[in-house]
Amino acid sequence: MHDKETILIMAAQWWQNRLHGTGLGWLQDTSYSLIDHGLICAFVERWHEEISSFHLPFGEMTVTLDDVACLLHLPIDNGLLSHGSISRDEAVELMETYLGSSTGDALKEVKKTKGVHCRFSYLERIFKERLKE
Amino acid sequence: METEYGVTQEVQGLRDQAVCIYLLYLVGIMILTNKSQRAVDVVYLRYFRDLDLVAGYSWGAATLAHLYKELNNVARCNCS
Repeated sequence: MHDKETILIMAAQWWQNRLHGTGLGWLQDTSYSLIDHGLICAFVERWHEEISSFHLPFGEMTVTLDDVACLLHLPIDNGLLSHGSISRDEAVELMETYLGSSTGDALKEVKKTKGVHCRFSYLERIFKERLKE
Repeated sequence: METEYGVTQEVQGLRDQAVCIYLLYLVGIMILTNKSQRAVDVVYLRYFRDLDLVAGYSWGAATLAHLYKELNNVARCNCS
């Protein structure tokens, strides 16, 4: 997603203001370049559903809301996200309104992912289109 | 008619769409991921209706709840 031209636009003031105004801007600076698959699998094996904790040799350990706030810098003290599932028609409508997709494209995404989803490859493509325009 | 950044409303609209697309991408790839790792639920677009109000939602809490749920899912069906 990040070629030279895109990075240049993303450095622009309007982009930074807009992104950080949403409270999710920190996410773009918070990522791992290397993800250890083995380590993640080991943690998953030690996860206990009943107590929502990792069972480790020295006791139980879990991820807390404070950890999320400190590591990802996401807002934690506002309204909760609450939504039910949506129909495919509603999904197409949302994509048309907020992403500016054409009806054909939106229908294709919904069909390809067999649900109300949208592929990352498609998002990358339309993102570059918008920036060019 | 010009907006606060001195661009036409049409350009502003396109910019907002780009921000929207990028946010959906970020949310899908970083905090509300699922096993498929290829697609993101478009229902989150609802919260991007007004970009100024996005910060009014508790994304941290949603992330944690989602993490617990997905961990339960993968732990139960024993697949990675």
